[in-house]
Amino acid sequence: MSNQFLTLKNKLPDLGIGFGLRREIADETFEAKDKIDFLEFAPENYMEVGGNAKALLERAAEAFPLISHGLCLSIGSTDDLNNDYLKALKKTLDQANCAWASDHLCFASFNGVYVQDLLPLPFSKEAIEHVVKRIKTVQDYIERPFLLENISYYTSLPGAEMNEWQFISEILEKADCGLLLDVNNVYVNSVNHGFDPERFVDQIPLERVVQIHIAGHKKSKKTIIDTHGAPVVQAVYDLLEYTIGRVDVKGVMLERDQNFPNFDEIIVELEKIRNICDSNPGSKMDLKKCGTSKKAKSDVQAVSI
Amino acid sequence: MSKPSLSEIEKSFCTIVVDGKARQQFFSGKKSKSKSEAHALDNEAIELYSELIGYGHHDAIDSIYPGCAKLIGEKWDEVVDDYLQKYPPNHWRLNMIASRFPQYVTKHGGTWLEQFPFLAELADYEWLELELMEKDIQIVCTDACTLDSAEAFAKYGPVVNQTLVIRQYAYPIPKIVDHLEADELFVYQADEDKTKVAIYRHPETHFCKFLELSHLAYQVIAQAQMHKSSFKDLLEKAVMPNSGSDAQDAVVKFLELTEKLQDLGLFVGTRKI
Ligand SMILES: [Fe+2]
Repeated sequence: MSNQFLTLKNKLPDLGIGFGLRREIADETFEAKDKIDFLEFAPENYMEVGGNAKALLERAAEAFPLISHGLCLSIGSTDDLNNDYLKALKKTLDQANCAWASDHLCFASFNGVYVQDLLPLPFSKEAIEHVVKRIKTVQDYIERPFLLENISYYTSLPGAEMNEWQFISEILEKADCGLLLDVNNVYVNSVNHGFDPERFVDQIPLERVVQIHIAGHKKSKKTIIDTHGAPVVQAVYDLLEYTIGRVDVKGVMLERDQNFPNFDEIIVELEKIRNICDSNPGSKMDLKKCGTSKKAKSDVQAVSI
Repeated sequence: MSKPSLSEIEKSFCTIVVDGKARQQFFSGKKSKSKSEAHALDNEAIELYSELIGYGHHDAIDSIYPGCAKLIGEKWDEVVDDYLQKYPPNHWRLNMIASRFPQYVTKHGGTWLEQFPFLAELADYEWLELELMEKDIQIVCTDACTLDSAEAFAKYGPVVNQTLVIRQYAYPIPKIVDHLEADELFVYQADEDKTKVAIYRHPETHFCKFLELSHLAYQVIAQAQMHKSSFKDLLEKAVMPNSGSDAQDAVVKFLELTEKLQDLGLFVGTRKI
């Protein structure tokens, strides 16, 4: 088992508190530049796209360090990795000078059909072997650290041979890659599938967490749905607080993809996240430096749901 | 019984979340390998995935084809579902989900085409807006030189906006779109002229523009797109053959036209030929 990733992680820039690049609220985002340290973008919206999208990404790259968070790599799919996708992704990562790139531990396509959603994988040994091989290929190809995000899932798939944290941990260790820990997804899954979210955090290899996502969700009758369309709830802030003191994290990012409120509300959420990170004595994130840095100063060559 | 492989699990999961009929059959036990496989999945959760996926797909397609959606009205969702069954999303970019709708209408439009014979052209027109907005092309603009001498006229030609597409429609699509936008009933008159349209991305705003073209403008642009032509070539090949007897008037009209095309961003400069 290789630990090369951990050496790479040490060289990654501390990005601070970030937000998602969304066309609908781009102007407000740029105006709040002094409250946001970095931006995350969905590469699929910019890969092989010109015009306004391209101009927006260029404008964002001028003003903020950028990182990429993909939706359609489909790391768990039994389809071949899409070379066209990888090629376009690499080009976009280079153009945006991303310090790292991430995508989800899921499958998003089958038999060439892209469902445009994040479908869960069975927690099986076969899935682990399959995903590990592909992560190595991706990480080599994109020439920068790759992070996997834990997803929200609403049903377990047949064929499980272990629980979620065992599944995630084994993949991270065997593939020697990083984790983008989404604390909202941990919370959503803990409620929907009945486990203790803090225990989940305790069981995963925290040293591999490079970035944290935090977001809002929606409660339906039986299920909590990860919508990124509502304010963050206190229980998720609490989980962030629990986690932040235990990890050496390079960036914490607020996700908001729909049902956009007045931007002042976003600012309040960002400040709350900053306070949690700042006031937590265990937090190893160098926030002051992040607040003033304009670009990722990474010597390692340098993302939403 | 051997346990299902990752590929089999992905295949059945993917099928039941995107296909309502397959979902019903699966949970009634007809298509599952065993009752236990169906029991391992939560029916309500599968419905939720299906709703979330369907919502995303429909939302993207609705936003790209507002005219077609308005025209077809309450049956629109059924049409979109049928389209997605026949042309499942095969690209990573969400908007590309709508790229083959014009093809679908032409091939499978059936009774809709009988009712609205211009539907395929309307779909083409609406898709072009998105396609050109997103096209991965940098519009390269050059300086526009002044055509103040016969020499300059022969030596220089226009640079055509690299995103510009011209279409000759059998139906008055821009007029139909105006009616649909204003919620007015459009009554098609069979004697209406064909419409010539230019669709392009503006080099500065990056937004798409639609222009109805005169016959002259259409010919000039078509010629300029086909061959690297000087203004003199354009005049001789695209203007003079259609100009009647007054050559002087034709030249004046041509000069006015090229200026307009430049101002509107269809031409984006001049170059030496
Ligand atoms: Fe996330």
